[in-house]
Amino acid sequence: MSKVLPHNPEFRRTFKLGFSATRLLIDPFLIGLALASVVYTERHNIDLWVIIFYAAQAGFFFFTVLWGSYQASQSLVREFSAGTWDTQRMSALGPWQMVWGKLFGATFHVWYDGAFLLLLIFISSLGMEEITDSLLIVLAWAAFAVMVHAISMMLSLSPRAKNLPATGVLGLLLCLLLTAPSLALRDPQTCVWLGLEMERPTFALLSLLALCGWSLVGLWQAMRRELFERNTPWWWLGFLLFWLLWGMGLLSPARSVIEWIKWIDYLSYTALLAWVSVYVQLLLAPKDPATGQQIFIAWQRRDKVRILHRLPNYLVSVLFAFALSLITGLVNYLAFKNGTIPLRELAFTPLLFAPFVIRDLACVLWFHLTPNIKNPLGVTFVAFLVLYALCHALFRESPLYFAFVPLPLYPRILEITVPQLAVGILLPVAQAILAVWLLHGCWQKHWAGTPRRTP
Amino acid sequence: MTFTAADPSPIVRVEHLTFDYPGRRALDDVSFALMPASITALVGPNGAGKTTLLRSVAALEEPRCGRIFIHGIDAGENPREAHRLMGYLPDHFGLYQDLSAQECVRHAALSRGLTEAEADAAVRRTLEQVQLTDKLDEQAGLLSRGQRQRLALAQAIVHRPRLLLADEPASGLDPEARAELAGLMKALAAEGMTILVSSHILAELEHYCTAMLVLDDGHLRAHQSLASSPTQSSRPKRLLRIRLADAHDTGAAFDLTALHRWAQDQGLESRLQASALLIEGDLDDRAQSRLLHELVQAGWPVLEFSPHTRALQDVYLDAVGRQEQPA
Repeated sequence: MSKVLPHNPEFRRTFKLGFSATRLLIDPFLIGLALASVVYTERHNIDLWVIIFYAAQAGFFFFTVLWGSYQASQSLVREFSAGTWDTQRMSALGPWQMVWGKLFGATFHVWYDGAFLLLLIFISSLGMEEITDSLLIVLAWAAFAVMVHAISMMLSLSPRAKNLPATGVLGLLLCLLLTAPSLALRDPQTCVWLGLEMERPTFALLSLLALCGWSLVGLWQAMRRELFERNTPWWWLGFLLFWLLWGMGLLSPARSVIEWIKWIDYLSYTALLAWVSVYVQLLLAPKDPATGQQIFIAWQRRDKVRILHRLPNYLVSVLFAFALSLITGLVNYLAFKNGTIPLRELAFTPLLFAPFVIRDLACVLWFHLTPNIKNPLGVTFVAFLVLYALCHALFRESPLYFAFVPLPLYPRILEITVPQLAVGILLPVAQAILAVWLLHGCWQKHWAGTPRRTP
Repeated sequence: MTFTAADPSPIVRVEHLTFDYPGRRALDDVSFALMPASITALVGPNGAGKTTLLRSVAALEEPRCGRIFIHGIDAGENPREAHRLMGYLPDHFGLYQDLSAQECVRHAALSRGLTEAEADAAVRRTLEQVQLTDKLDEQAGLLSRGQRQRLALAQAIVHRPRLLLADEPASGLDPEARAELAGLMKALAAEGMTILVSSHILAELEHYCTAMLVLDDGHLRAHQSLASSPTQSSRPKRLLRIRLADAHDTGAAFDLTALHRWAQDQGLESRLQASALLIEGDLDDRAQSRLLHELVQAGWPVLEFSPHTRALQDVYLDAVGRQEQPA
C-alpha cells in the first residue's frame, strides 16, 4: 500500500459519503437497544452472556457481513451507474489503493458497528471459552466478513454485473462453496487434513484466513484488469494449486485399502475439482470477442507475452485440469502393471470430464459471441438445465443416459458394462465436437472476417 | 504539468485503428495525428463512431487492431502511462452528485497523483478558471447543467493534462453556457493543451475549433485544418459567395444552376449552396475584380458578390459529399 488508508483519496471519498457524526453517536445506542430488546424478549431462562453471544454473532453476520457485502458491491455498482468509473480507471490510483480505499471506505460504517459487535462477542464468550478461543472466534468472524466483502466486490467487477441481487447471491454461494467443506467436517473436535490431525477450530480459522487472503488477491487481480494493468495467469494457477491441495486434503476416499490406490483417488478428486474450477472462472470472466481477437492476433504474431496477458483464466483451468487428468490416467495405468485395467478404473478416469467441460465451454462462448442473443447468461442457464436435468431425466432408462452424465459421477460405476462405457466416451466427445464446430462457425461468421459495416 | 506549444511533433498519433462491435465495424482503418495546442472538432452523424474513437484514444476501450500514441506513449501497451497525459470529459459528465464542487475537483486532483499542497493550488486555480468559485460548497447534484458541465471540465483538467478529450460537452447547454465553454476551450488551447472535442452539432464548434475530423460510418472522411488554425500548413483557397436576383424577374437563363455551369465552363471550382453559388479558388483582389466584371458583362443579375468564410459546415459537407447537416 503506497498510501496509508487515511491518505487514500478513494477511502476518504467513500468514507465521507457513508459515515457521519450522527452515525458515530447513534449506532452504539441502537446496538444496545437491539440487544436489550433481545434479552428482554427471551423467555427460556438462558444465561445473559449466552444470549448476548449469539445475538451479537447474528447481528455481526446480518449487518457487518451481509449488509457490508451489499455496501462493498454498491461502491462499484454506483460508479458504473453514475458514469464515474471511467474517470476512476484513468486515475493514478493503483489497484491496491483502489481495493483498500473501496473495501474499507465503503464499509467503514458497518465495520464501526461491527467493532462493537465483535467486542460483545469477545466479552460474552469469555464465560464459555478460553481467552485464546474467544480471540479466535473474533478473528474468524472478521476474516469471514472481509472475505465476503472482497468476493462481493470482485463479483461486481468481474462480469460487470450491475444486477445486484444476482451478485449478492453469487457471492454468498461462492462463500458457502469455499467454506462448506470446513463446516461439513464430521468430527466436531478434530479433523484430518492430508493425514495431519488438528483441532477443528484451528483448521477452520487457518482455512478462513487463507481464503480471505486469496479473495483479496482475487479482488486485486480483478482491479488490476479494470485499471489496465497487464495480468499473467500465474496468480490463478497459484490459487488453483492452493484450492486443489486444500480440497484434496479434506477428502477421505472410500477405497483407500491400499496406499497407492488412495493416492490415485486423491489425484482423481483433485482433477474433478480442477474441472469444476473451469465453470467458476467461466462464470466470472468477461467473454467479449475483443479478447479472442487480441489472442488471435497475438497468436499470428507469435507474441507469447501478449497471449499470456490476454489468456482467460478458464482456459488456464482447462489446461491445468487436462494435464492433471492425464497424469491421473497415466498413474492409474502404471499402477496396473499387468496391463489389465479394470473397467471401473477406466470409467473413473477424470479425463472423461473433458468432453463435457469442452462442450459446455464452447456452448457458453457461442451464446456470448452470437450477436442476436441478448441474454447469454439466461440462455446458458436454460441450456444447462436441459443438458443436465431434462436429458438426465428423459434418458434415465436408456443407453443414451451416459451421453449426458460424466461416467465418474455415475452412481453404479462398479457395475459399468463395455457398451455403456463406449456410449459414455463416444457421445460426449461427439457433443463436444459439435459445440466446438458451432462456436467456430459463429466466430468465422461474426468475428474472424470483416463484419458488415452498417449498424 | 508544463507544455511546450511549439513542440512540432504530434501529441496524438492514431494508426490504422479498427474497432468492432457485435455485428458491425465501428471504426475502420482510422489514422490521423493531432498537433499540440490544436482544438480539433470530431464531427459526424449519430452512430458514426465518435464516442468509440474518443474512448479508444482515451485507452478506455481496446480496439481490434491499430495503434494509438499519446506523446509517443503507446496507449494500447501502456494505458496507465498514457492516462497521466490525458483528461477525459464524458458526455454524462461523471460527477459524484453527493460531493461538493470543491470536493469533486479535490478528489480528482488527489486521484491523479497530486500531493495535498499541489491539489490545494490546482483546485483553486481550476475552479477559478471554470468560474465556479462561488459554488465551492454546493453539492454537484444541485448545480445547473451548465455548472455541472464546467465542474466536470474542472475535474478533467485539474492535473493540467496535455490532451483533453471531450465527448459532446455542449450538449443541452444554453447559448450563454456554450459561449462560456468556447471561451474556456480557447483559453486551454492557449495554455498549450491539445483538445479533441466531439459533437454532432456543428454550430457549437464553429467558434473555437482549429481543425476538424469528419467521421462517417466508421470511416475518417476528412481531417482538415480550418482557416484560423494555427497549425495550418498551407494558405486556404478563397471562397466567393454570389447571389443572383430572383429568376422570375430575370428569366430562367439566369438562374444559379446556369451560373454554376457558366463558372465551370470558365474553369472555376464552384458549388451550389442554398440560395447562393460558392466559387473557390486562388482568387486575389485583381482576379475577383475581373470575375465580377465578366459576370456583369455577360448579363448575370448579380445581387451579392462577397468573400465567404469557410465554415465547419462547408468542410463537413465537402467531406461527406452530401447536402445535409449531420442530424
